[in-house]
Amino acid sequence: MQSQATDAEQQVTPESLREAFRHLHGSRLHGFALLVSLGDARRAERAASEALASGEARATSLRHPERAAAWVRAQVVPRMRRSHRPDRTDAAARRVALRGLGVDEAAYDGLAALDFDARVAFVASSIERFAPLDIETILGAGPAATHRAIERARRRYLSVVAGPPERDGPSPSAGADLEGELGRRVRMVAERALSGARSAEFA
Amino acid sequence: MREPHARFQAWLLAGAEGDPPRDLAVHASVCAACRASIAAFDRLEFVDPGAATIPSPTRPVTRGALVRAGRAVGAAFGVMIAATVLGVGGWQLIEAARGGPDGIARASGTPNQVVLAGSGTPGASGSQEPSASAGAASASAVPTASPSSDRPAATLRPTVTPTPTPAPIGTSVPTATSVPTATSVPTATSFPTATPAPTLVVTPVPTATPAPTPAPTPTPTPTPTPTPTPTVPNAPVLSASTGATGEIDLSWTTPYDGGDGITGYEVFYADGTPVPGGFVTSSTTAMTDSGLRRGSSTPTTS
Repeated sequence: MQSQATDAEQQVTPESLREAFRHLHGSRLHGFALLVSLGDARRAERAASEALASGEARATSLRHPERAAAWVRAQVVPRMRRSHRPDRTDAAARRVALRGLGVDEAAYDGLAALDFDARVAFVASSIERFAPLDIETILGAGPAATHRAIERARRRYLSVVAGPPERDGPSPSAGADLEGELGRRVRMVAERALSGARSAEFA
Repeated sequence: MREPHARFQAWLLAGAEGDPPRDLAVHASVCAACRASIAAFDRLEFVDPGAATIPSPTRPVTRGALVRAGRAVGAAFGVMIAATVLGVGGWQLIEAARGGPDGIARASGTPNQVVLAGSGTPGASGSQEPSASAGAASASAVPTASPSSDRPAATLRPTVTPTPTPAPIGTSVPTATSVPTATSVPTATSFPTATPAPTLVVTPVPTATPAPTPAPTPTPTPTPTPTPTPTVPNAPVLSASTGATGEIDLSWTTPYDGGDGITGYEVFYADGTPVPGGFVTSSTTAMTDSGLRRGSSTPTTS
């Protein structure tokens, strides 16, 4: 038993660790870069590749591997911010690039309404669902600023995709019947509340 | 109706963590706007960043590499700047030293130094006029107050005006104090003064580069060296020895010449009669008189 463990330890070489890091984070990091760059494929791939290589070089010395995903995204953000240049990728190509990730037209419009920093906050919080501490790492901001950035980004996204949030009544946005995890959660709570009320009523 | 709607929207914006309160969930289930908001966030559920490909590996650009590259570029730039400065500076120095055909140094815009040197330093003769070699630039630098240079030897004359002592009446030989006379020696007012050099007028220079014009140094006043006035030489000390009959050998030592060279000696008898052959040059300090007669006076020299 002990000899088997020793064999396993001997197989974990720095090279294999770097390879594992690459496969574990590579695709999602690239997707993150595509989202925050709004489909700028070339810029996203370059930034993700550089950040990934930087992460691979430190793969053997990570003190908090559970934070590696946030750390490597934090390497992407400044690279993309530095390489920010006038938009040379047309919207159609961007939509096609993001469609491969499952971004439909309405979500694309919502993402396009955000500036770069707001998009980073929105993608990290609402799409990748990072913990607040990780989002702070990605944004390089404190808790309060991070909270404000997330809320502002969600409000902006919502105003574009679902219309003004304070508006009561029918929404001009289509797809209101689209039900995901959030919709199911709200419906179940509402059903429990209503069934309980009926039970009380008929009791 | 407004209040649960706003609260539900705030719950959504805060991240929609956990289950919503029952009243808000009931409201959202019947509110079209809230259902649209829920749907807007539920769209994101279909977004999968992991659907992207793994980016192609690239060589990471490390900070150290950037720093090294920056240093190399900076060093190259610095060397280029230094070379340019040295090159331009050296060329300007060469151009300045070369001077123009009009005798004007290009870089300084002032007359060549030889002109200033010629005007500021009097020659051995005390002349203040620009030399012939500086004549080309005389139009641009002309002394306005040239000293009275028509007496070249004036500087070498003593500045102390001798007080002429009237010669004693009846004495035909002038005394040492009467030479030179007051009329033959230039007075002190006719000597060059120290003012000419500072009053040099440098006309505007033709080039545009305003270089600092070297201030003309005051002309050093030549200090006259007193020339000793010649005096009457001393009488030679005569010695005689008896020779053959009717002869006497005379010899004498060279006396003090009084400041002027002795040109010769004359030998006289005591009664003032010149001794035959007694007019000799200064190189002769001995002679033999063979014309003595018994009972006559001994010869003498003067």
